[in-house]
Amino acid sequence: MRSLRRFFRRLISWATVQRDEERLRAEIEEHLALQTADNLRAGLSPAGARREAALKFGGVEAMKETYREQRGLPLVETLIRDLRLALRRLRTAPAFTIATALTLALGIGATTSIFTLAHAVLLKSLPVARPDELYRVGKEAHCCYVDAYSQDKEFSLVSYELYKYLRDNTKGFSELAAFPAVDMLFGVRRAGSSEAAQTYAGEFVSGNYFAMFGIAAYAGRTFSAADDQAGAAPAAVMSYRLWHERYGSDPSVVGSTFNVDEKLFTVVGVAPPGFFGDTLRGTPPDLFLPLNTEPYVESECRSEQVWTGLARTHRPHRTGRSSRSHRSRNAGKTEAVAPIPLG
Amino acid sequence: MKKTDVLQGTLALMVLKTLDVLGPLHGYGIARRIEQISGDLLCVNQGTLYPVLLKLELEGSIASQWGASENNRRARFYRLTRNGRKQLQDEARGWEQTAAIIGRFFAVKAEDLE
Repeated sequence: MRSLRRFFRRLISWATVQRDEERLRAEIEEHLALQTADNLRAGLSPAGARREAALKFGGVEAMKETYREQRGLPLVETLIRDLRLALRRLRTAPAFTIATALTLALGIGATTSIFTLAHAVLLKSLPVARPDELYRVGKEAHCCYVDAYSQDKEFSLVSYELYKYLRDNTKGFSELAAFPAVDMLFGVRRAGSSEAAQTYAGEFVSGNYFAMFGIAAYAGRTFSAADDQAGAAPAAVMSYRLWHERYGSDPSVVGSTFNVDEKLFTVVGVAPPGFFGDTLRGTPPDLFLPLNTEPYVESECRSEQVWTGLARTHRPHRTGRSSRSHRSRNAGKTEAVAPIPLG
Repeated sequence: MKKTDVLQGTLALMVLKTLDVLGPLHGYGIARRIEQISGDLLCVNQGTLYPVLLKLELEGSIASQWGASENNRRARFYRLTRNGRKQLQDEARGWEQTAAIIGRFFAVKAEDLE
């Protein structure tokens, strides 16, 4: 308690160094004057009286030093003095200073950025409900999805028919969602507005895509299985980023109609902030469209691509799945479905 | 350990007791009083008193303010605070105990132990 009080007093007296010095000087002066007066009364000569008083008082400088140690924050003062000295020394050796500063800056910068990356990619969980229950089917991330489809790639790419077969016949997983293997760009414009169409990344996803991730809409709703059926009204889910940055979080966006590659889609909901889709990439999808609307969107493409669009069921889709109940059986299941032939 | 070292350590206690007995006093007055009481046995440079006064003030045992000395000069007067009075009581008790124990040790003669 007493040391705490002393610390605060020291802090205050540190701020009033000048006044303290003045005070000490005045006190010494007064002390010597009184002692001299006494010595005079005792019969000493004026010069002798003063000399005696000074002798009796002792070394003034040594005492002042002790006095200063009591007062203020000697540690801080010493630190500041050391810092000043260090800076002076550094100024006399600029080459050394620059080299050292650069080394430190590079070291610290590199460490920080690498850890930031590692944190974002490796440590931070996906912004989904139960990241530990998500599995990607197949080991190979991509390859040859148009010309040279191969089952050697452990089912990282499957046809739509095979996806449906796996979805309906694999019991170990609560959901099995499909999304495309390629990045897609769409020209997007709010229907009826005069704004120019802007290009945004998007993807076709199966109706259970959001349910698999366990993600609820930030506004409106996400897809249900009914949205992903042939003949269903074309619905779209917008990313929070697009909604926030382009449309200023306008609530009327939900429920309004948008032109997506000149096809009309009703935005039924907004995905939550921080959800950047199924894959970590530079252009996260801003629009999610039901898988079954793919032929609807791509029908006006040039002839060789029409084939691709019509042959949607043969077009390979990457699949992700989540298992809520039989995680431990996951590996076995993947192998068990491996020999299923293409439909 | 020199005799004066021990006395140095008790300088703070002497200051407190002096202020307790004589009331508010300036530095020179305290020095004179200690000199008188100790019968000049205490060979301290009077200047060393001032760091002790500062330390006591920072601890809150004494407080000081400017006043006029007997020859009408500006002088710093020190007085005991409530904290200082309590500290004095505590330390005086401790000192008496120590002195009593040491005293008993010296009073004991060899035959007393048999």
